[in-house]
Amino acid sequence: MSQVTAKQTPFLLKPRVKQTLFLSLLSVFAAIWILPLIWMFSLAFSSNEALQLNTNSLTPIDPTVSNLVGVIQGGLTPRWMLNSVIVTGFTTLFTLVLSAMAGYAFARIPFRGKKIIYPLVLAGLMVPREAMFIPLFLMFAEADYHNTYEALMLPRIAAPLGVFIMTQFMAAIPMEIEEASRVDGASRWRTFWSVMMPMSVPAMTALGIFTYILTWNDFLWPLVSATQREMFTITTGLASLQGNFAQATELGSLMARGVVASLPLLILFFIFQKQLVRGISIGSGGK
Amino acid sequence: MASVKFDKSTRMYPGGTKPAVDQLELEIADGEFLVLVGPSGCGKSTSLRMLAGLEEVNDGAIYIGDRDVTDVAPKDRDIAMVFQNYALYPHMTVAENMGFALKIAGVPKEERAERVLEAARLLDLEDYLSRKPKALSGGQRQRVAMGRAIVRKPQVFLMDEPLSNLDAKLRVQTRTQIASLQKRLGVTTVYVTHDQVEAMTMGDRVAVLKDGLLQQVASPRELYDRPANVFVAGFIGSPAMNLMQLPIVEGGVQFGDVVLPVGKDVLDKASGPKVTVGIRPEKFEVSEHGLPATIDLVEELGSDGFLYGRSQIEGADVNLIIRTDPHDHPMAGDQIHLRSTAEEVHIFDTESGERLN
Amino acid sequence: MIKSMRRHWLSIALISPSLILLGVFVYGFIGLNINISLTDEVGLNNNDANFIGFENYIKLLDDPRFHIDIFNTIVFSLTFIGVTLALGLGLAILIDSKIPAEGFFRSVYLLPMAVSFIVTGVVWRWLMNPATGERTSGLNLLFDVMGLDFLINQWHLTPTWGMLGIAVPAIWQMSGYTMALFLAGLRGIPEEVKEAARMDGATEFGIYRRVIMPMLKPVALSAVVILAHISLKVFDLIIAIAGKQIALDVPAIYMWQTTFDAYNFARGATLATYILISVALFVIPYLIVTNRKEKV
Repeated sequence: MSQVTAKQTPFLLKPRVKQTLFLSLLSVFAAIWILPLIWMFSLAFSSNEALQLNTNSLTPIDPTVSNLVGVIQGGLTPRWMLNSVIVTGFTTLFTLVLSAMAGYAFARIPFRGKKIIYPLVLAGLMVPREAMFIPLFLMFAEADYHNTYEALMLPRIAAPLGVFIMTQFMAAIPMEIEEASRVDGASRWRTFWSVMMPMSVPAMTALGIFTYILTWNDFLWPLVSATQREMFTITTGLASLQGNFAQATELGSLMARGVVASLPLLILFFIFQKQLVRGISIGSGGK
Repeated sequence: MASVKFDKSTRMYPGGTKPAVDQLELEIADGEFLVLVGPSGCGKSTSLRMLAGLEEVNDGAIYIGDRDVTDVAPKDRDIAMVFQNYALYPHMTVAENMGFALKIAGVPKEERAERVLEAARLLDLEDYLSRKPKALSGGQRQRVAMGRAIVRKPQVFLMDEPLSNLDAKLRVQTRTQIASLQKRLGVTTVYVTHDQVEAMTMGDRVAVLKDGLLQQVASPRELYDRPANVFVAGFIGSPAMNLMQLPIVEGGVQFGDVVLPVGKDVLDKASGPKVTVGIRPEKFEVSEHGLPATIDLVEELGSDGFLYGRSQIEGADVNLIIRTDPHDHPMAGDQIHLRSTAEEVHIFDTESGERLN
Repeated sequence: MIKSMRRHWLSIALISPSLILLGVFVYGFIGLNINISLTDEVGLNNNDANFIGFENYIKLLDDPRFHIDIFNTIVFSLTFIGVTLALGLGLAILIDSKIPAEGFFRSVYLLPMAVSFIVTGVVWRWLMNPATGERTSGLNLLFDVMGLDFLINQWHLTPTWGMLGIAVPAIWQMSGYTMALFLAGLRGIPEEVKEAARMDGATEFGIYRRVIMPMLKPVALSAVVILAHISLKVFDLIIAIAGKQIALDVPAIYMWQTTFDAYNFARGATLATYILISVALFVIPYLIVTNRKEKV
């Protein structure tokens, strides 16, 4: 295919030359792109002592797993991981359910005021978190509610992105399917639950991964709301240790924390990569 | 099983100026196969969807049996529908697709399985029950959609262009299967199509719609032999009927150099000095006298031959199609004369388009 | 009538949880924030704040630190958005040209997206180590070894233009995402359109310029808005790389320090409102454009 079309193409480069050029360009970029992560991993597996002399190797120096073991056993890192898992898990779950519900209503049920409400939801997509921060902080402070899981989760469930993705997706499901279900005797609710929800699994998977990554990596709100060390999430916890490594005394340990903090997401990323890409294209509206 | 009755049913879309279906009056007998046919936008699908309860009825009423279902939800109408794109649930297997309605109705699991299997046997789908729609061919999907309707044992089947996504050969095959299945099950069926061949071959009766208005309801033969107006005359039959406007003269209408005899009682009903004369392609006769025509093109189809020609009538070119013997016919470029017998022509009022004879 | 009432009840039931959360936590709090910004509220549990109108807003406009913040934000946003868009588009075009191991390249470029800004900061802080001489390390060492000495620089410690150094890891992180956006857009262009252009005699370059680019415009628009939004999150990155230095100050850090270090809530809220206004300048035109095209 490609050869046939390329032959007719009045392009400056021969197909093979072009492909080699493209491939080498991509490879160079790929090398640059992967370098920081390789570096993080190699430092994480190097001993702290060796790193005081040399931090430039791309392979572990004096390889050891003591840094990782130290992270997992010592300090509050396991607790921070647990916090992150709990907060992220529930936030994702609630976001999925609420977004699917709202998405169905916006996509399929005609109701008054939809033309006003939907743009308001979309606009919410873009509101910077700083704009709600101070009253949010003050309100939770007044209610003595900081340093709880609820405080970490609640403000983030309101995810307009989810409503947007689910609305886009459900609007694209053929109307006939829903009509078939109604003729088959299903109520609106049943149609939503037994037909539309299962059909939306691809979009919900994508949205789930998206939400999970964003929530896991979130920094600002946990930084403000969780002030007790036991309630830190992995991101704020990691940042709180940041000041200690200026002299590179514990660089290996620090990188090990980076690895531990990223690993759950990297694994998730490799398992669900396809769905994530799909989610990006639904979210961009350029399906 | 039940009869169906549209009683002045009207559907007006919000923001529209003209009703999509205008005071439809139609009665469908118990067990009858009725086809709704017409060009796109004629309101045939809307009528069907009104009967299904998917489209609101703005005025008039709809009855299934003796029951007024005008405001009844689709699920409570005891109907089943086959959609144009089949609308199979992609996340369910064939068996689950067919059993979904029964499941919702609370039919016990065993009875459900039994009825699904029974329908699958009828449609030759037994081997595919555990597959998902994605893994089926177009024809198989179509049968699953049929199966989903049959399993329900509904009072009425509704079918919305169920064959339009099949290739030509499969369409002809499935056409006869559906018709014979319907005869066997004896369920009242309303079938929508834009294809007049489908309408003529499948329906006990055919209802022709145009612009939301019912034009004629009749058996296929009557529709062909006695179309009620110019629209039906031109729509039903392939190739289409030849229609020409001819002046009324003493004893009939002027037909080239001869007079086509038409009864005075018929012509007296005409509103103007001309009438529209309709002649089917097979009712023309090539002769020495009559309407002069030039042949442009000849099609030989083996069993039939068709001549495509032109005739000057009252200073304007009129295209004509004539069916002839495939082996013995005039050639392209030939000048011929055409005649027809009085019993074979259809006379319509030029103004209203209504049938006069 | 009853039918439509029932229909409404269901939609209300389905939508209200999202709307309540959104109404309270987004719109409600924006209102509260503006309310606070119009007072002189300082300190926790302070209930006798006075309404002082736009005083905070006016004061801030004369604040030299705020000027630096605006300059830094503009430098960062323009660099980050511009380079990320260009790289994302370039990579998407390269990957879209029927290259072998397409999936591999896509994963590599997308990978940084799964890493948080904090971890990114930790790693890049060391990659962008500004130390010289004996202690040269990270990217500077790499440049040194490769003989690209002219590329060696102070990164985020460069006077005035330190934000350019901060933009580097941000670009690294978001280029893959932008690439995925463009790739989805490219894949959405039917092959026939390109073939038709070829039949019309367009060169490969001409096809990109005259056919593909115009069709990618909506995707590019979405990408700009998303990146503009993400560029606000630079807060995390600066904290992780540089701590709170005035040379790398942005409104978010100023706001954070004012609010949570100095407990000057009113001024913090004012900064927050300015941030909101700057985003709105981007987003409102975008929403108007998309809303005109899309019908719900």
